[in-house]
Amino acid sequence: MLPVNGLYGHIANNIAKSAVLMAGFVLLVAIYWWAGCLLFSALLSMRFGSTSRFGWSRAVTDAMPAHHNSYLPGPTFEGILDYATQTALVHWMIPAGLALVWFVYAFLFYRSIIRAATRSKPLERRAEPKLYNLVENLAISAGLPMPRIELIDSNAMNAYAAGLSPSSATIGVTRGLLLKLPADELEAVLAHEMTHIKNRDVSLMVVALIFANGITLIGNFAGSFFSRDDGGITIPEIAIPTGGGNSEDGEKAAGGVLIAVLAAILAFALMGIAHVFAQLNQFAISRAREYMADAGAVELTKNPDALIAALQRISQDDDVPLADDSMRAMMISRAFDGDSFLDSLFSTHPAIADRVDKLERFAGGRVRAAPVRTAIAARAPAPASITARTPQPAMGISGARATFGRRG
Amino acid sequence: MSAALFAVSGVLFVSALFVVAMFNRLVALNRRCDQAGSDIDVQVKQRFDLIPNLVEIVKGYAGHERGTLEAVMKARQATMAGGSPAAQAQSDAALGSALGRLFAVAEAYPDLKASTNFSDLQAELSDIENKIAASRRFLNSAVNEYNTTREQFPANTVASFFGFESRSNDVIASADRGRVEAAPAVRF
Repeated sequence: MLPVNGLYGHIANNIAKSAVLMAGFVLLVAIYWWAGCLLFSALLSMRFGSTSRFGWSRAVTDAMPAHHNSYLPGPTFEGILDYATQTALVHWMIPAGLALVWFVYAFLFYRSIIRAATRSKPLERRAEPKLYNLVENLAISAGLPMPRIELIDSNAMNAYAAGLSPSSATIGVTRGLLLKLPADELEAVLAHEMTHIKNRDVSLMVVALIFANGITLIGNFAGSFFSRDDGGITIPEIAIPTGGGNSEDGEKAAGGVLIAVLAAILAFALMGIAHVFAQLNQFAISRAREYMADAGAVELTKNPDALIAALQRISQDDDVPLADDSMRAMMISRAFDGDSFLDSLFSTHPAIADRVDKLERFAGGRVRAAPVRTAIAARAPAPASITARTPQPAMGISGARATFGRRG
Repeated sequence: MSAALFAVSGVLFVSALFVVAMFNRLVALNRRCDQAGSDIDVQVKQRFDLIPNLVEIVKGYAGHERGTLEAVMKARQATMAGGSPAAQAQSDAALGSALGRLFAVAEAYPDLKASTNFSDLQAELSDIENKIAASRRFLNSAVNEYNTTREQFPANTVASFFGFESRSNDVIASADRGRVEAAPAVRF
């Protein structure tokens, strides 16, 4: 709506983008629901469409809701579509209710996972005073309670933020990050994670994940009715037309079934498209939040150059071996397996070059000519709560190698 | 007839929303500039508070250098005198050069250089100078964003109607430029 002239505009832009994408999820659910009704309508047409109206049993006519235009979908394609729209509009409470139930269940499920994953002993000030001080200063600047700090025993450079609210938040850093980054770059990375906590990005991504998973689940559920054990496609038994009659009826029946099958194919195509768009949506939201976290980090530290340098340094070695891809969401950076446009669409993080470009354009950052000497944590590593657990829904600064097709 | 009325009122409503959005955006950007300025003041205050410690330590080891020490304290005092932004910029630059002379003088005293208190303070002051520079750059980009948004169409109509004024960039840059352009006095 308004042009992006700097950091504030960039952030406002991404907030708007997130809102539109979340609304997109609602639209996808609606499309899915309509596609489901279309399938239902097609099946009905397959089963009953061939019989003449007076041939139905009373049981069938009594079972049909009175507010439908017609008792059954008409034999034409338009008739099937019309019946589907009718059903979808009249019974809108079914998807709303199902979505609500699914949401509550899934959110509580994820919350319990996050709580279980972050129950270890928090890092104390004594163990890593410089790190603790950095996080504490950032928390004070941002007006947030002090988050738990977790140290990951890995030489790769990465960091993540987890927790569904600022009061129950955790920031994790790898030992490699601590050793290899100078203080101002480390501060930039921590500020990025702190911004994720402040923006409640983990909650947002869990919501997006619930939507995407729900759509996938229902799609698989519906698809299971139509697949044979050997992997082929079949028409479920309930859809097999009943009632015979003379050969003229038989011809009409065949035509009717063909139309119904076309409608069913349309329904599946829509579901498939909605399924893919749900995944794309989830990744698009994630990328927008990453841009926002970069911008927020600059606001906290006032030092965009450090963040640019940190991102470039981290991108060279960010692969932290953790088991759970899908829920780990984002760490601060993510290596691409391929440069294709498709890979970037399915990526949780924007490319490092894009992030640096945005920081240069909107935050006044500059790429440092010479790398800063790295500060080494001089002390011997003190015993700290080192865990290699999978950090469950977390927002990190470098994600894992998620390849196209490996998701969910 | 009623359809046209509906359409016109719809257009008016959307325009009103747009005006509100632009006004709020300008207000937010304006406030951000103020906040950036206050953030600089925080850092400057921190530097102000640290300098007496530095002077005390140096006095302990290099008491003869009273001239340099006094210059630092006087320059420090001058920065708190306030005044126009240009005057502030000048006093700030003066403090910077006084501190620079103090550190140069400290090179001649090995005991002082070996003191961890001194080196810690030096590192802190250097860090604060970096933070001040970063905050100044942030202020400049905030001011730039505000001015650009203020001048672009259609926000400029809202800005002139409600009296949003242009802001000037941080002037330290221009004061420093004067210092840089003067030939440095090098003595061997």
